Amino acid sequence: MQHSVTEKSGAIVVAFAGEIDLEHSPQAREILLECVGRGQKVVVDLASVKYIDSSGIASLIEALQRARAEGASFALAAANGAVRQVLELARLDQVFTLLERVEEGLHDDF
Amino acid sequence: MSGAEPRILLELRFAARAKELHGVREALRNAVSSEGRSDAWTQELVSAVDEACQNVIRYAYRETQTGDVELRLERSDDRLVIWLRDFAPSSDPAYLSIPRDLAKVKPGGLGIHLMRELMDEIERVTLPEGDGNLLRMTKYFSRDS
Repeated sequence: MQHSVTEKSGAIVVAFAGEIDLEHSPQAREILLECVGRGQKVVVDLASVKYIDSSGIASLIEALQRARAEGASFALAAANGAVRQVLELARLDQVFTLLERVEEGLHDDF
Repeated sequence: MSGAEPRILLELRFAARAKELHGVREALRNAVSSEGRSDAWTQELVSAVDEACQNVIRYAYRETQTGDVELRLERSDDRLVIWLRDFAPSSDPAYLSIPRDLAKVKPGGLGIHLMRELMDEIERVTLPEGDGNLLRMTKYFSRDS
């Protein structure tokens, strides 16, 4: 798993790539919670994530809950293929704000 | 029913460690690739097996104990069957039937829900006390649209 954190238009964009699985989800969780802790809008770019498992999904849920507790916006962007399927099977597509593209999260409220 | 013996597509034995799972997923994809299944069907199988392996690592071996996992993939006329064996203390078979309340948004407990959604049949095979745990998971080709 690779990742990058950038600030764009007042939002933090966390981009992951590769596989967010049991080996890498603790690192993903740490990155997400650190970003959410800054109190800014967070957009997670999943475009280059090829695989995510339940432990990776758990990291996203924990970050969402932390963001809500702190009154910060949190969205997932560009989830496709296997990643979107897992979100839908867990019915989390109705829980997360899902954006087609990262840019939607930079200019719009969500 | 032809009654033909199942054909073994893959047999693996690996340490119950998170870092092993990438290789397990790759081996499964390679083994299924010659069976003419769609990418989506194959991915569903791989995800379900990955979640089952995680349960072994996290709950059977409790992440701190060392131990091995044996995986066997069999093909019959109309299905693939996964056998997953560990050598940890016997687990409570009820864990497979505990429903997850999807209305509650919480970080844990998704793995078994995903396994049930992605496979057609999941059965815990009873072994003698002290012989570990054995899980049988079946996915039918008819579910490949």
